[in-house]
Amino acid sequence: MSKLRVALIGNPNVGKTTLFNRLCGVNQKTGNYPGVTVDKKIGKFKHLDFQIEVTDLPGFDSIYPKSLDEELVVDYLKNNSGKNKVDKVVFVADGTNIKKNLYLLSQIKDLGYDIVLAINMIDVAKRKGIIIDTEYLSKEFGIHVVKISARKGEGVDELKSALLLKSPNARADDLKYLKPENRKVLEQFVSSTNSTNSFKSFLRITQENALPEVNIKKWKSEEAILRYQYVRKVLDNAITIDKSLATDTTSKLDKILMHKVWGYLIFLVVLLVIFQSVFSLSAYPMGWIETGFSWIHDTLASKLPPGSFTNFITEGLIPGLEGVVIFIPQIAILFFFFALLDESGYMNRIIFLMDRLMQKVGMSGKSVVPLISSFACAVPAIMATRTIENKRERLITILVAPLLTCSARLPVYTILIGLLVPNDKLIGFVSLQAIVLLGMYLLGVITSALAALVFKYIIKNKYRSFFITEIPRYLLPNFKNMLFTIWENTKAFVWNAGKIIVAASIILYVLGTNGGTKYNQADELFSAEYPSLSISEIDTKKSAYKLENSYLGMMGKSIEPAIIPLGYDWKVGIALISSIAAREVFVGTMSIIYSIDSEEDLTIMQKLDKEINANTGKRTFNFATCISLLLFYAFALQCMSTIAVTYKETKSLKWTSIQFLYMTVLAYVVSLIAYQLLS
Amino acid sequence: MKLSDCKIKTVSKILEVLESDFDSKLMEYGIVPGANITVLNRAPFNGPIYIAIGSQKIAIRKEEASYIMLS
Repeated sequence: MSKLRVALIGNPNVGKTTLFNRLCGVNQKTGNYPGVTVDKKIGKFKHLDFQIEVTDLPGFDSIYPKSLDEELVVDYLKNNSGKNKVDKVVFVADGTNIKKNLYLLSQIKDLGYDIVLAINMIDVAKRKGIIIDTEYLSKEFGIHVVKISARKGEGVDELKSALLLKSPNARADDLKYLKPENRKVLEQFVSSTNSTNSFKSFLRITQENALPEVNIKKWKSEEAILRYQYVRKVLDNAITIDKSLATDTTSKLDKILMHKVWGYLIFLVVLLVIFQSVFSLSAYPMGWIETGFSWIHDTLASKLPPGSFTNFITEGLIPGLEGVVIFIPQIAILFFFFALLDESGYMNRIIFLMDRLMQKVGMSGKSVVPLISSFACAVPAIMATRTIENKRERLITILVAPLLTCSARLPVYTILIGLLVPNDKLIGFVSLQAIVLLGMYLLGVITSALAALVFKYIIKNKYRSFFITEIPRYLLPNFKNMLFTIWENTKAFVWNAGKIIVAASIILYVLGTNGGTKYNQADELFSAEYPSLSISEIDTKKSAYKLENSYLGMMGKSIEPAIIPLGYDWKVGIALISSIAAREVFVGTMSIIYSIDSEEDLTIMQKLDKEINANTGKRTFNFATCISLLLFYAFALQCMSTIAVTYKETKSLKWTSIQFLYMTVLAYVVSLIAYQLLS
Repeated sequence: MKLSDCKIKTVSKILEVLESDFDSKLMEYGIVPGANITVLNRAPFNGPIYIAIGSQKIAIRKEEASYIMLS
């Protein structure tokens, strides 16, 4: 069987990774490039008699690198030799915006690569009325051109076959990127250095200053201008845009949607609609999920033979799974709106409107979308920061996103606010509870802005931030594309956050149901001590006693000295530790630890209200403690999934730790001050 | 005149794109000497500038726009 080595390259966001997954399926592995933290993805597939190895390189925009990723790709392309020599390059282009891609393509072509051009997203391009003459492109560049849709799998087989063909007419590069007088200088340099490729020599001159008498600035801009003119000419011949699909409504809509006043008001209304929908529409499916899980729980508990394995399933695994599934409705609704904004073209207007404001705190207009997602969950938010090109702006967005009030904090806030203010208190028509909740949201927004401002002064900018964004025409959203986006993102959330929530729930379950001798002797102790009590009363007392003496309980007690100044006791300590799986676990843990018996009429809130702190002898959940806990949950990064996704996206242990530490310290200090002042 | 100082709804020809880290980026978007630029809108508080160049519309920050000289 013959072997073929292929590299996938192209600008960022052209669907390279989707194509890579299409080609190689599960036959892929991720490694690292030496010395840098960029994923190196290598996959394999067979086609006819060939074993084809594919390397997926990071997306890059220019042969003049402006970021680490780009530097890596450019080095890879400039030094293609030895045993890892690439036989073919698949250049992936975005069919809806091919002009940017062709510029880079012509440069790669000049480096002497044997290229197959894969024009991706051809289905979307067609819908936008963009017609691409592939035959002309093939002739002009002397390469094979294939139209594909990596999402749908269209044209992928044609692409595989094209890889095995000889390029139609691999023309030598003809120095069309320099004016005649400079061309001579370059030709002389090429022959004097015995180079085989004049564009490589050009890069040696402009990037490594190999010919000191050359004015590099001038050569570079000459290349850009001449190449652009050439690409322009090719584009004019290769692309026809069906104007009947384009309308002037875009300009008319932009007058309102990008207006100084109306633009912002409309954006505010859009935001409110999204929030309202995320929380109110999701209430129904979330209710169904709860009912469904309690049905599964009860069925399994009654059908499976009683024992520790059944308990593990019903009390450890099922609640863990529920903790993941319960978020799916909110995430899906959120991504429905994002897909709608993105597909329609409105998203880019938001970026335009918000850029200046976000820049003041070191972020970009493009940070707005991830930050909005953060109100549902920080995990999809951090994943969505990939669209921010500038490293520093992206890093700051990642660092502050978890400060915004995510929906996992809501159940915690609801209970604590319930303890803090009576339900019947009104200010005008609005309940005081609602106002406090709104205050918590505002607190998140303000703190994240302040934190961003601090990071803006701390983090050095290696690559200059620039902001050029295409503002596309408005389009009616394609329902299929939207469904696909929702599906992809929800899947990514379930996978990234889900496995951690489930794993943490299981670990906590094991820690909470195992313990030392005291734990193991609980049964004898209780039947001996309380002969007069009914079985259910004993069970309730016993489960609280068991939790206290479990490993989890011991952990709670061991951190007690640290949290007494915040007004908590070891019981709250257990809840804090359990919250690391996900914040809303707080509620469940509280109900176990304060031995809330389902047969009793007291609700969890009434029970907590009566609780006495063993250290102070006062009510545990007094005013000061509630405020202190609220603040702690507002600021602390008690979320394993967020930590994991931050690491995955930044590939930096340093920034992952900084994020965890600054939030924990902030939470601790603020809660400490609040408790000490109020108690 | 710099693009960053240009009034909205005016059409001008690009004279020169000054040397910068991002000049090749600008050129990739078709911002090259000789091209016509229309300023469509500006975001408030010195925000980005919304321009039309050829058949495409792009938004660009004021800072970057100050590297583009118009006739």
